[in-house]
Amino acid sequence: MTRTVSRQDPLVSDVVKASIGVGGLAMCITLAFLGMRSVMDIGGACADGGPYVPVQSCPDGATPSLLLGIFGLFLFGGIAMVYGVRLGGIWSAAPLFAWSGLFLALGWNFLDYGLFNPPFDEGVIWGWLLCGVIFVAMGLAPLLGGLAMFGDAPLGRGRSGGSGGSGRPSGGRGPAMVLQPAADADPEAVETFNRALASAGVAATVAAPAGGAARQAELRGIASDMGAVITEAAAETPADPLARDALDAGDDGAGGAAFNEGTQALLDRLERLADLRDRGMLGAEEYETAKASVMRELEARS
Amino acid sequence: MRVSRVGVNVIMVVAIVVGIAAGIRLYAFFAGG
Repeated sequence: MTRTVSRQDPLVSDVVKASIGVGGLAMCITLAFLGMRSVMDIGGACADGGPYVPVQSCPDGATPSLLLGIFGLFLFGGIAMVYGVRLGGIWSAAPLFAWSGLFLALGWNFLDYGLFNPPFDEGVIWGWLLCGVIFVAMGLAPLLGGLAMFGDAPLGRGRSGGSGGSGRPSGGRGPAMVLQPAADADPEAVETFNRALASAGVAATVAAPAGGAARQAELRGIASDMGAVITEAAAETPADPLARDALDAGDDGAGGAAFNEGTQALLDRLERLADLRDRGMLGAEEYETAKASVMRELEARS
Repeated sequence: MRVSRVGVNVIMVVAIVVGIAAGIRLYAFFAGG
């Protein structure tokens, strides 16, 4: 099978930058792995400087290796994340696999020193064995998830079809990854987010929310209902405070004042609920429940 | 200039191998070996 370079293939500059990120991740994991082993060789704990020096000094190279190994993961992980996404396929999830590589490597250290080759012939070290099992589980979980995600196109462009059996459809930079938002996500927010992704050159997109149109219709209905209630209440209550006081002091007396204050408090609560919903602090169902409760009280008062 | 899919995969695998080798050499350097 022959295949030529096409417009859907990544730019060489992106590949070089992604390779720096991925290669750096491999280097940092190796440093952390070797640094950890050197410390476990001497019993698993060490300290340098101050009053701890006489207890157990660290082996040469352990401190810089662990420092560079751990903090370098953030730097190279960021590079791999930004440029790996532009390559698509399995490389877009490079940091995910780096996570697995790190935890499996360190988990192996725990198992090796805790079970197979304990230092000073101490026998099984249960604390390290437990850490090893946890680390291996933490490493395997995303690895299996990632392989399931990219299993049918291990080194290609993800699940979408395309030329050569591993590419995405032709026509420039299409999305390599399609994310599914929550059913009640705001379609406008999704659209804005997609525009931001596209302008940043990220080969991913968020699908339209499943219940987008229905959700919009529902919100319009709620707004309409609330508008009617507020308008009706406002029509019954004079805007002028003096007139309102006069009304309160009239037929209803103190009971009327309490009635108006209570109604106003309920209307305020409705407005506050709508505000919370608009700011995304209330879900659709929570809002509906709260609104129904307020409406019941309002109807009882009228 | 663009790189084919096969080219991308080869470059990235080489980068991983080089990264591991660099980690081993760097550790040896830190350890004074």
